[in-house]
Amino acid sequence: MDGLEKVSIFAKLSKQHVENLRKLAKKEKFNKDTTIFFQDDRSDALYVVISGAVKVFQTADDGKERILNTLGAGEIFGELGLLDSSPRSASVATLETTEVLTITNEDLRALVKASPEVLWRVVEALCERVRQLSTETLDLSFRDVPYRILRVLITATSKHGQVTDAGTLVSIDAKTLAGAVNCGVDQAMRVLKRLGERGLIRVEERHVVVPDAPALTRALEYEES
Amino acid sequence: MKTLRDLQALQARGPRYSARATFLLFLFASSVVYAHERFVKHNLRYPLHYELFGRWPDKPLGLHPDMMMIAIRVAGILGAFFAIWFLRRSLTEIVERSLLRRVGGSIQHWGHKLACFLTDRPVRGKMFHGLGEWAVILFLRSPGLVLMYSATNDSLVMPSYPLDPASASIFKFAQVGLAILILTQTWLPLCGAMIVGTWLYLFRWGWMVAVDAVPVLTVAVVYCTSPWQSHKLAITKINASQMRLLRLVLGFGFLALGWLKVYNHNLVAGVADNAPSVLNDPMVAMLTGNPPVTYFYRREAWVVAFGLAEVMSGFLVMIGVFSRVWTTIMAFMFTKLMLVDFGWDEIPHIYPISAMLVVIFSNQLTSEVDPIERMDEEAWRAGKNAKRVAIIGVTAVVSAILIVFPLLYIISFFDRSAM
Repeated sequence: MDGLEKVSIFAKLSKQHVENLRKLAKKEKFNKDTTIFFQDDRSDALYVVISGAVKVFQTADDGKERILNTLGAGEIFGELGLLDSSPRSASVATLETTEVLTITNEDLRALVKASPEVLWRVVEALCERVRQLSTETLDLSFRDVPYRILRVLITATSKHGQVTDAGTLVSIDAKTLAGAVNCGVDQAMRVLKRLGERGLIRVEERHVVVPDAPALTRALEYEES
Repeated sequence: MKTLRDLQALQARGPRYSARATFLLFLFASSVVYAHERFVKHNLRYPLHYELFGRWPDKPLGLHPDMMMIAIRVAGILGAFFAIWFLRRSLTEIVERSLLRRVGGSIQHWGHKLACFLTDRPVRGKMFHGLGEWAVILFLRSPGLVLMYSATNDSLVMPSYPLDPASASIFKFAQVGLAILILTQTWLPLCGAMIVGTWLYLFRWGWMVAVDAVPVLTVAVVYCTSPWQSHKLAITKINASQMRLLRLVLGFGFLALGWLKVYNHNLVAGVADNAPSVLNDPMVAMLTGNPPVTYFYRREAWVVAFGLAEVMSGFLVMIGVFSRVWTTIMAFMFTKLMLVDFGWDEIPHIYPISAMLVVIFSNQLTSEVDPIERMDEEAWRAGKNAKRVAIIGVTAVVSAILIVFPLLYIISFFDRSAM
C-alpha cells in the first residue's frame, strides 16, 4: 500500500492506470533536513508526499531563505517542471522523515496522454499555489508579522500537525517561521513567546505544540480586528 | 601642454567630448614612453634549441615531435574539459542524488555549494555574496592603486613602461588624476575611455606590447558600461552583460598572451633564465611526458607548455567553460608569481587578480556554448544518447583542434630566433 490512489491528482484514474503508475513510480524515504532538490536543478520529476512534511523555499544570492510553502501527505511538488521544463524555481527540503513517490516527467507525460484528467488535477494544484501566493502577497503588504506568523502556524497545524495527547505537534521552529513570513528570527521568537504566554502554543526544541487548534484559529480573528 | 589644455576645454563641454579628447591625447602624443622594459629581467642567458619551434617538413603538420606531443596533450585536456562541461549536470546529479541526499543536513548543503561552485552555477550564501561584493569593490578601485604606484615609479600605467623624463611630469599628473577619478568612482565611462586610449597608444611600441596589455582592458569595459553618475552609486555588483564582457576580454587577453609566449619564446625563456625556480613546474612533466630536470628541451618545453596552458585557460574563460575553476587556478598562479617568484615588483598584478576574484565570486556566469548545451539538453530529455555523444564529441574535438593546431602550424613558419 503506497497511498497512490489517495493522492488527489490520481484519484480519478482507472485501476489499470494506477497499477501502471505504481510500477513506474519510485518510492524514496528521506531523513529529516534532507534537500530533495535544489533551486536551479534540472526539473525531471514530480514528487508526491506519502508521509511526513516538506518545506518549499527559495534562497536569495545572499543566502537568505524565504519559505513559500509547507506540504504534507497527499500533496505534490515539482509539478512546474512538467509544464515548462525550466530549472527548479525553488528548493524542497524535509521537515521530518518523509516518504515520497517520484514519477519522472517522461512517465507522467505518457500517463497524461492516456488519462488527461491527471493534467487537470495538476492544474488544480497549481491554482491552489497561485491563490496562496496571492494571499501571501496581500499579507505582506497589509498585515503585520504576528498575524502572518499565526496564519502560517494555523496552516501548518491543519496540514501536517501530528495529533498527540498534549496537543497538535508541528515541526516548525522560529527560523523556519521567520523565513516563511519574511521577518527576523528574533522577531519570530518574540511573537512565539507572546503566543506561548497567552497559552495558545508551547514552544519546544524545533517543535511547536498547539494544545487547542481551534483556539489558535480564533486568535487569528482577534489579531485581524 | 596644448593637448592637455584642449582636453580641459573639451571636458567642460561634456563627458562624451572628454572621452574623445582622451583618445586623441594618447593616440597622438609623442615621447610619452621611451622604452618597454620589465622589472622582471628577461635577458636570455644562453640560446634556446630553436629547432623545437621550427619546421620539420617530414613530420605531421611540419612540427617537431616534442612540440606535437605537447600540442596533442593540451588539445586532449581541452577536449576533456569540454566533454566534462557538457556532462557536468549528469555527473553532479549522480553525486548529489546517490551520495549527498543520503547524508543530508549541512554536509549535503556544503556539497551542493561545492558542486555549484565547480560548475559555474549560482552559489547562494552570505559569505560568498559578501566576498563577491568585496571583489567588485577591489576590482573597480585597484587600477587606481596601480596608477598611483606607476606614477611614483615614473612609468605609464604599468611599471613595464617607464616615462620619458621630458614629459614625465605631465603624464604623472594625468595618471594621478585618473587614479583619483577611479578611486572616487567619478565618471567611470571617461576612466574606461582613458584606459582604452592608453592601450591603443601602446601600439606605438609594437603590437606585442599592446597584446601584452590586453588584460588591462578588462576593467575598461566595465567602466565604459557604468553610469556617468557613478560617484553617487554604491557599485558592489556587476550585471550579467558586464560579466560577460569582462569574461570575454579577460579570457581573450590570456589566450593572446599565451600565443605571444609561444611566439616570443626568447623573452619568456629569458625570464626563466633569470628566475630558474619557475622551471620546476609539474605542468611541463605532465605535458611533455618527461621529467623537467633531465629533459633536453627543458626550457623550450616550459615556454611552449606555459604558453599553451595559458591559451587553454584563457580560451575556456573566454567561452565560459569552468570559468571559476580556471580563474581560481590563474589567481593562485598570479599570487604565487607576485609573492614567491618575482616579488613586490609585480604588485600591479593585483589588478588582474581582482578581475579573477570577480569571476570566481560571481553568480552571473554565462557560457558562449549555451546554445550547444541546449541542444544537448534536448537530446538528454528525449533520451537520445547517441545524439548526445555526437554533440559533445564533435564540439570537444573540433574546438580542441581549432584552438591549438592552426596557429601553432602558422607560427612555425616564422624564424623568431633573432627576436
